[in-house]
Amino acid sequence: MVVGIHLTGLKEPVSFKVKVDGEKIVSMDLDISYNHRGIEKGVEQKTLNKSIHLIERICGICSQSHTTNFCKGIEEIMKITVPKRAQFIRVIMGELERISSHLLWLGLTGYEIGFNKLFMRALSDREIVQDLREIISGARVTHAINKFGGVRRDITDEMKKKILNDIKILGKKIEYYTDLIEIEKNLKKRMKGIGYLSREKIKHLNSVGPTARGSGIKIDVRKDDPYLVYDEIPFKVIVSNKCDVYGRTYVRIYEIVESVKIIKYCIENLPKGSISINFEEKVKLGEVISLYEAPRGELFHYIKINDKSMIDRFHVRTPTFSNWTSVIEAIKGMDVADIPIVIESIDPCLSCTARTTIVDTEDKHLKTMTWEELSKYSVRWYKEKGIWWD
Amino acid sequence: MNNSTLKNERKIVDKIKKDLDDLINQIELKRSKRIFLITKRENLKKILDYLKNKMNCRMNAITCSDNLNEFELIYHLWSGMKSMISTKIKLPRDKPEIESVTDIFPVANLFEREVHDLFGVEFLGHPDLKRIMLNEDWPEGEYPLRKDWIKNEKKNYGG
Repeated sequence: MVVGIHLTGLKEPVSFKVKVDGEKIVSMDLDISYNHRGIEKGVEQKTLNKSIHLIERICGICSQSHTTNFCKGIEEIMKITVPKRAQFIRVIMGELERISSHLLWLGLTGYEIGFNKLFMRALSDREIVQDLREIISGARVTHAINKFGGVRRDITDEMKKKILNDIKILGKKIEYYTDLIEIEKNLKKRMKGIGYLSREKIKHLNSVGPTARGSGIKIDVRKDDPYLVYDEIPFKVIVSNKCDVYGRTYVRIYEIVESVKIIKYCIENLPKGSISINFEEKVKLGEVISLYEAPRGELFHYIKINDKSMIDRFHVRTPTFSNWTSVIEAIKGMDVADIPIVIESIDPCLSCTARTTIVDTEDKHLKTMTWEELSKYSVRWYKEKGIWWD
Repeated sequence: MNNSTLKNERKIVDKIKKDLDDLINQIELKRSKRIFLITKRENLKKILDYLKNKMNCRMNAITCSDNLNEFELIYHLWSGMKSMISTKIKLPRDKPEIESVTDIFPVANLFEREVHDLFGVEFLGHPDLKRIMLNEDWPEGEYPLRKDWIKNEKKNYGG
């Protein structure tokens, strides 16, 4: 079966070739080449300052992750200490991004399983965060707030009041999701045991982020290789031992709770001072490895600067790239109807089209489905089994 | 960064020096949680195997850079002892080939495909070294991330 699909999830270009035996999936192959934009090559021809703008556009949903990670890498080569206030602002923006990404993910997960109320609520609650991001930086995504040496825009006292007020409201709204994950029977039926990836398997596959934490592996760059001011901020790393879609959902929901706490702490403890340090010198020759906990997991940047202060090499390894092998493993033995939610639970972020090819091993019959069709098929399949939403 | 954490890194460096001694050309502690090893191609697999089993390492990435004289491959691993350990290898530009490490780290499957696609490095023994980043109708033999790659205006790059 070939599922030629536009991934309604995140409108991203991936091609899945799935081998089935009846309803069960035997194996899966993937093709992620559809939207290669040559950014790594592109930044070799740009000045460092212009590179930030290109790097911000690697991904819309984790734009803050990419620029913060890049800036702190260059700041490390230059041995520059960014003012504390700027670091706090970067944390606030990073955590707002995390909440925004997780709420979007939650909504799309709801959509994939036919739980439209969840979709509507999550996207609506997400607007609180999006509005805050716009108030602080002027934009809902691609904030252009990071620069070498600090940030471009400050958080005023008026903004502080608004942020505290709005995240208090958001904190209350999150209770709906924490109740949902603890209580809702149909959600548990839909998610428990699905896309199972044992702790040992995850360790073997070197997965990162909520995919790993949902299988009991306590890894989080904010604790393992602390950056910005995370070593000062009290927060928990959320881990679940369920190892399935339910576990990964649990992790993301409670990470939203933690992010709300982190933002509250940062606003209440926002130090006085400047928001940037002058960056006049040319960047020295050097190489750096910069790590960041993006919403999907560990983001890895390798930056090499040559003697002309230009980027010699910029390598990006996104968390999704590390997690693709988990997607392939998680789907084995599952029913075709589970494809959407299992893939969604890894929360892939690419940026483009998606097509799935499903090959029936029995009669070698090739069938093409769009993601929309697969989603509807999946929802219908479970409805027939009595798992539905009021 | 807290300097007292260097105690942990020094412990790691000392252990690696003791256990891998002649397999390593050089070992550098760049800053807290950043250790670099330099070695020859033939020692890579033994080192990675050691790091996985004795240092509780997972693989973060495989990066490649080109300086027109040679390719530098770096295998970045994160140790359970809370430090990055990056192993550097140099490969000749006219014959860039090295043994695949997918049997040690399955995630290297994708990382090696990426380096092969963009730089043309051959990973011997890789189960399926096909394109991953570039479109399927990208012409053969064109490795865009090489420093001397120039777009041929007459060619069709597909897509």
